[in-house]
Amino acid sequence: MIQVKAPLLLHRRVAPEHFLMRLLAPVIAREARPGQFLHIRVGSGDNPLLRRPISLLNADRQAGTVDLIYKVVGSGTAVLAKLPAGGRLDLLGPLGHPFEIPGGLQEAFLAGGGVGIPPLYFLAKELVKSRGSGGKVKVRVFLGARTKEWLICGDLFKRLKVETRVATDDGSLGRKGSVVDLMKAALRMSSPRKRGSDSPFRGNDEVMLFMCGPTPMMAAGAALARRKGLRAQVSLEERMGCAMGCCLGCVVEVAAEPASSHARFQRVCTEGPVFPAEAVVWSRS
Amino acid sequence: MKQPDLSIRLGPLNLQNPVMTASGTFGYGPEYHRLYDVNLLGGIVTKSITLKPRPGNPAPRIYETPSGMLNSIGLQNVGVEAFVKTKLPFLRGLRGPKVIVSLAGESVSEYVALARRLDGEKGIDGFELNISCPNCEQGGMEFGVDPRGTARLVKAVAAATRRPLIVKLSPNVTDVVAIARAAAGAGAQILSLINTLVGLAVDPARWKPRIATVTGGLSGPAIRPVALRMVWQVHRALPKIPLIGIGGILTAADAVEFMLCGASAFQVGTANYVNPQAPVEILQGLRTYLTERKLVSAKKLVGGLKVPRVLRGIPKVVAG
Repeated sequence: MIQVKAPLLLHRRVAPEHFLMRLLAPVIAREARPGQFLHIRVGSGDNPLLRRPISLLNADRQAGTVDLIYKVVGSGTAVLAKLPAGGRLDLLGPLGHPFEIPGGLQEAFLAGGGVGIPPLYFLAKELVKSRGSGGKVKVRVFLGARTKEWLICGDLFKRLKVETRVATDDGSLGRKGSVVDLMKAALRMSSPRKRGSDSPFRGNDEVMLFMCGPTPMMAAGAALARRKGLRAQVSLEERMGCAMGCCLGCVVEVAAEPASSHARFQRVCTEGPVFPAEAVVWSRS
Repeated sequence: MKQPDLSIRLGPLNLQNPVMTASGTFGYGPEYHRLYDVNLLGGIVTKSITLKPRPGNPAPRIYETPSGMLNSIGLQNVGVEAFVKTKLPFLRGLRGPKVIVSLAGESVSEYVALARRLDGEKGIDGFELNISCPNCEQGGMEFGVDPRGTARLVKAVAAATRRPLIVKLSPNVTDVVAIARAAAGAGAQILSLINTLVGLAVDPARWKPRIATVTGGLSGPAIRPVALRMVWQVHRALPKIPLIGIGGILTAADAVEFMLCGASAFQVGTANYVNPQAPVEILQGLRTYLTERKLVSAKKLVGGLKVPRVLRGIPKVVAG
């Protein structure tokens, strides 16, 4: 983890309100794991004041570059969107607890919505790579967007040659509906053992669901996974201060552990952003 | 040219330089040690410690505001026993900065018990009493907004420890000088100011407050003018008591403003979130500032604000 002023090599719009940045940051590219994020200073003044956490889309160790996709949601990201390629950006990272890939993983479901999709691409790339070393992970991807033109990373997954299904709110691409609808359909089809059982995946450590997207989507996905006995990891978002584990501003509520009362809240920047889905208290969405 | 002397005396404490980190923004030291050598700092103030562990307030806890941020963490911390076991060893190993442990409690007896518990521990150079946390239902700020409450608490803690005692003042008062005087009279050797200003941010789309506890503490450059005014007021009223200035310091120039208003040292808080290297960059910037002006010592800045003669006699600043 370092703080570095990294050259912005590329900066372009990839969908409405969504921008891709490529930055030259060899140390970060070397260390970065799927699910981790960078904490980025927007501008150099004091308004907007705080950095913005943005998930990694990709890290190219050979080229020493990292890619990010962010969505313009407020004043900070609006400032970011105006930065021309050729300038430098103050980065802090890579930060956070990445997705965990269990040793015996055979099949991975990746479900992403909107700007939650990029970290799943990074994960898919790692999983596909692990195929060659005897891992043989089957990757199935479910993506959601408002409409066809709002979908991001669709082409990237296509190039990875992983099975990818898309749902859009208006049906302009793929199935009309939600990512959770796609997951429901797919899970009905793929319960190799105990077909017809209520929770076909219970006790199965070879299959795992990875999710990142809007909170209602992840809450519904987590509920579905729980019903099916499918283990799941989710990547969460929260307004963030330091991203170093100090300010305790970015906490989320996790299932209470009776042994330690102060562990009720966990930091998205340190224990997260990736958490086991079953630990997260979803009520606040 | 000879390097300027950055060392500062804060009553009983000799700091290698005036750059300290503010409580709650710097963890317990090792977090930022991953980025730079925290031995360079003049002082580190820990996250506030309470007698028992505290889970903290519900989320969301922070929200960005114009040139500032609101927070309502609720003193989440591991409690004094876990602090001694898991946090203090790192601080004990430091050779540069003074280690100040921030204490918070809900009653006088809690503060006293904390001070007693930590008094004999090695590696602690002083305590900062957090009598001004705006985000707790009980205690905290209620001591800090009343001169008698302040005096009662400070007197009790001063009697329970041999270590230097800093009292951190709340800006959420009508007359900060009255509180400062009460703290100094009761045994505080150093005063730090200011803690956060109570504020509120609203989501106009959902008709809801932006943070779960409705109100929170405002920090960052937005509060700097208020902090400077209070430092200046207290310095004029109590010129003998050493002050630590706190409030939206992002750069060396900001720090110089506080020293000119009467602060001998200063704490960097929210800036750690904006630029994790801020404290060391401020230290370097301060060195450059003094060198360029051929000032031999940082002490030359303290209280150097040039105020028109006609205004010097005004005893009190009234808001409005």
